[in-house]
Amino acid sequence: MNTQPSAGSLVCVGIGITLGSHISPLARSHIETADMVFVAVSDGLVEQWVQRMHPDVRSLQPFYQTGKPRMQTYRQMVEAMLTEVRAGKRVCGVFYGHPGVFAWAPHKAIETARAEGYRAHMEPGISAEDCLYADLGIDPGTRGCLHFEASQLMYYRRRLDPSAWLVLWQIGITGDHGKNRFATNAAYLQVLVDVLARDYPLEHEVIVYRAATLPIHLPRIERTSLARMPHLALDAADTLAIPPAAPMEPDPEMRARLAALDLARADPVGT
Amino acid sequence: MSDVINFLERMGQDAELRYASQDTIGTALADAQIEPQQRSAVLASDPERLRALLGHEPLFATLMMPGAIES
Ligand SMILES: C[S@@+](CC[C@H](N)C(=O)[O-])C[C@H]1O[C@@H](n2cnc3c(N)ncnc32)[C@H](O)[C@@H]1O
Repeated sequence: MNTQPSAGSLVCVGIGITLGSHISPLARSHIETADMVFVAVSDGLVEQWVQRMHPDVRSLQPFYQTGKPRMQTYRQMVEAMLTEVRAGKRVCGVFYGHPGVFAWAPHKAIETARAEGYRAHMEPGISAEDCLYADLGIDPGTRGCLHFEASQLMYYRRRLDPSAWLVLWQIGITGDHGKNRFATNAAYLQVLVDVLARDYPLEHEVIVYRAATLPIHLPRIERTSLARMPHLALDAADTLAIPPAAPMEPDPEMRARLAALDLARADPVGT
Repeated sequence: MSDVINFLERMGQDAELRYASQDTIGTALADAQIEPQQRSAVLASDPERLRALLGHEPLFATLMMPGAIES
């Protein structure tokens, strides 16, 4: 049985990190052809740029307030977009970077819209992760690369692998319980350092990375040691990259099994 | 006649401008008749000053709960 999709629809698009450089032709077309546009980006100039692409662009910024539970902000963002979808509008949500990378509201909005019978999908964008690989010269395929939300490493016991790269997101709001501060401080960062010190030597290098959001500046790439990390001035847009601290450990048992399979294949007996 | 947002978009999209010398950017800014204070903020690679000149407050940018815990 085919139910006719309702008129309203939702697309969440990413416009990348750097103004002008990363937006895809498809994302721009979604913005230009929508009935209305919501925008959540990290830079006022980028927001102003998006405002030019459509006559009805609404900022999601007013939902953020210090002292207000963060989850409430995110739920209100979802609700704001869904209200218009339910009213039959073709809605475009514009997010910086990739709309589905370390971003709750776009995923939730799409899930909710679909559950209510509306057409909804996501268009990828160039994420901070993509910029990081380019600017730091890292290929995640060489040693593997783990990504975590920084505070998650403190709330939960996660298994780290110091033979791979480790990338920590939202390092600049480490330990923020989602209410007041939108910031971190040395005491919270020290807890994170203590967690990381279970797997990494304190003198191991860590890299603070911030991609350029405007085409007029260079990325922030600041190298320090794990021990000194709590004393860095960190911003909500910073990401922490930790290079591998150990060699990859060979697995003799599995290698032997693979060698046996190779031999069996090369053996003409039975063919 | 252009404004600085259009100019930034052009810089972001143009391989010749994105990593151009100060001279080239200076000439492009003058050709686009960008206002002198904004011009000097662009040339100084100073996004903070440019934001201040255009009256922008820093924006909130978190989109996920720390710890990725939902409630
Ligand atoms: C809510 S997430 C959004 C990420 C975004 N959706 C993306 O695809 O890059 C915010 C986190 O992304 C990372 N981030 C955002 N902007 C960045 C930038 N310009 N450079 C490096 N990392 C950035 C930081 O770890 C920041 O705390």
